[in-house]
Amino acid sequence: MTQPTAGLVCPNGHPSEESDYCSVCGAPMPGTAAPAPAPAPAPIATTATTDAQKCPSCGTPRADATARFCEVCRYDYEAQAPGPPPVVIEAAPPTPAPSAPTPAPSAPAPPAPAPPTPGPPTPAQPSLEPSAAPVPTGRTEWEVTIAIDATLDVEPDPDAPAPPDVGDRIFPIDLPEMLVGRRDDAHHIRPEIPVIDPGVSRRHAHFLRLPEGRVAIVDLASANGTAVNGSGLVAGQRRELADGDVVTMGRWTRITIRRRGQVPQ
Amino acid sequence: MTTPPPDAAEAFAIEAFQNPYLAPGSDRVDAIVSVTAAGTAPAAARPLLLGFVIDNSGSMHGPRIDAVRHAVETAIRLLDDHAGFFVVTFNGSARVVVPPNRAAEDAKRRALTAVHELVANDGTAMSTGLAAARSLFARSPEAIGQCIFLTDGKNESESATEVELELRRCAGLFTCDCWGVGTSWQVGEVQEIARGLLGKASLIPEPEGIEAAFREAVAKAQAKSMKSVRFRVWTPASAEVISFKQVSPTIEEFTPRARQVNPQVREYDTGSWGPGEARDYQVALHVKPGAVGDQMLAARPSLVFTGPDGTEVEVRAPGARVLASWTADETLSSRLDSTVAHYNGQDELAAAIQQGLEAREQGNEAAATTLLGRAVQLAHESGNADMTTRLAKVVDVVDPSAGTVLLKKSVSKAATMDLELESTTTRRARRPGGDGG
Repeated sequence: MTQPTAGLVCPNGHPSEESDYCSVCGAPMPGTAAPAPAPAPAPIATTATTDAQKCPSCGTPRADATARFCEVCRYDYEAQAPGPPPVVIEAAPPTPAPSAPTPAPSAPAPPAPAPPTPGPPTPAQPSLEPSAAPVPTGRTEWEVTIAIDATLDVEPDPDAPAPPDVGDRIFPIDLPEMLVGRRDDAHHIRPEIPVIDPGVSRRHAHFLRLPEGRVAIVDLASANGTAVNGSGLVAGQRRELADGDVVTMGRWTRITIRRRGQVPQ
Repeated sequence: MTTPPPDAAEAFAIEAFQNPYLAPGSDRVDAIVSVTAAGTAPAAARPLLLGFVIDNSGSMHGPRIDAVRHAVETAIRLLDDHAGFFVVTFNGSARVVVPPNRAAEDAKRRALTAVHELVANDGTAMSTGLAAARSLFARSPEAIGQCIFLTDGKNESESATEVELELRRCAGLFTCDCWGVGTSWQVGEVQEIARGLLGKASLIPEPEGIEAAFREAVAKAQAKSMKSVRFRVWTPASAEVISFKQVSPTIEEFTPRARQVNPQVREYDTGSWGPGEARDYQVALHVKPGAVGDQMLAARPSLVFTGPDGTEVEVRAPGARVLASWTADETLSSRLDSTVAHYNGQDELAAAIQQGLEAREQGNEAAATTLLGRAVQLAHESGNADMTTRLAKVVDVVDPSAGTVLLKKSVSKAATMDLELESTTTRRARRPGGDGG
């Protein structure tokens, strides 16, 4: 049973808001029993949250009436101060207004030159220990985030505005070759990474997984081209990608490449 | 019934099914999470706004538009007087035939008159109907928005991109079930609308069937009591969600629809729910392998919704945990949980049907026979009797347990379309010691 907790520390030294399993690493908290092979259905216990229990720092509902830290920003309810290791919130866009397309926060004129590659990009990692174990090996080392960025649309068509940004879509690069393009059921074209953008070709580009955990993109002679960090690609020529690179295509599609979340030890 | 409505926080029961034991070095965890809404609606359930979005293009002329008029009239009569409703028609463009109204007697009477005058002409541009519905639903954000969409033809007056874009604009405002009348419409087009708006697409072979379909749809819509319910998955910092799917009542891929709340929490919109409704979800996780004897929580599922008073409610269950426990004992780690196995089978069944039908269409009879034979075998093994019946309209079954079939020489187009549409409808897993689904 989950008991309200305060100041709990898991066997790996993380402050945990949960008394059964650590809310950072998932390790069992002292006293948590091992799993049974067929867990018996347990009665429901619930946690309700009310307006009164929202985090004063980020507005996230408090996980539990006596939870010490905010689940999202780690605000310390007891000390009434920002909590220990900062975890950066990936801004999730609010529910879209039905008609007005959401303007992007900053408005770089396209082609938007993204910052040059080196240096860890946006998703701030909580205190990385240099000696930490390597990233989980294998299939899901890279991911791409697809976003609608209305500011990329140089010639907005008032009758067909960019749809409201309903949030980023994330795809792991988990196949040797993944097609990015516009879905077309009539022609049986179903890209692994479907993009909703009239300026994107049905077969627009491939993401390729290269040896040694590297990743590249190749434009498949698309009608309107592809740019990486603002510079256009030559169709058919492979371009290796680095963490944080920004690929733009079509009227409003922005794709960010990320190495998947490393682990705070 | 004297059962009091449950506290909003007891709105769902959540259970996880899995084998938590992993072999040394293993980094993948699979589980089924089963969610059942409480049997009674929470106090002060939200009002319903039911929108009819009806194709009145030229092809609907004749018995079809007559049957639709009749079916919409029946459906309006069935509405409780506190429900809201509207009627939109579309051909090359959309028209609001009945604006949003409470279903009081005089409003119903006015609506029946307007619906009675429906005529069919012109082309088909489905996105215009959806756009009109969107603008009407947007006026009542507090209501549970449910749409009944009916068409009979191809979306020939606009490009497919228009629909894709409009679906993005509509998502989250309302959910939509779709029906195609006859066999001149495209399964993929109509399915795309239903999927994009968390609904289901179905076939009505003859116009006489429209009324029954609408009756059922009204009953289902009036049963909904919660809207925009989100499935939340917490994972430890070292784990990733590889995939997240609904597997019952139908298979729906939710993975790309994830909304990342923070680095450890993702949410998936599941739409609106009614009392007693049950759905199952399949979650696959990538975890950092532990040492033998290590145990960790790989995911904590919960449901989140906005209660009638506007506060956000998170429903958790202590039994609903997805665990990973590394062991050297192969008898433990090699065991496959029966619920997980059941849905793996239903997934393979859907794929075998879809690929089998595609092979048959391309004239590859050998591949079609093998794949549809495998489908018959899987449907038989899992006790999915409805699917066996549908398959038997497309193939002659020689031996269901061995998967031996012969392709039928002549198959009605309706049977093929129906099989394709229903291929993702699963049989619910038997609960250990519970019902049979």
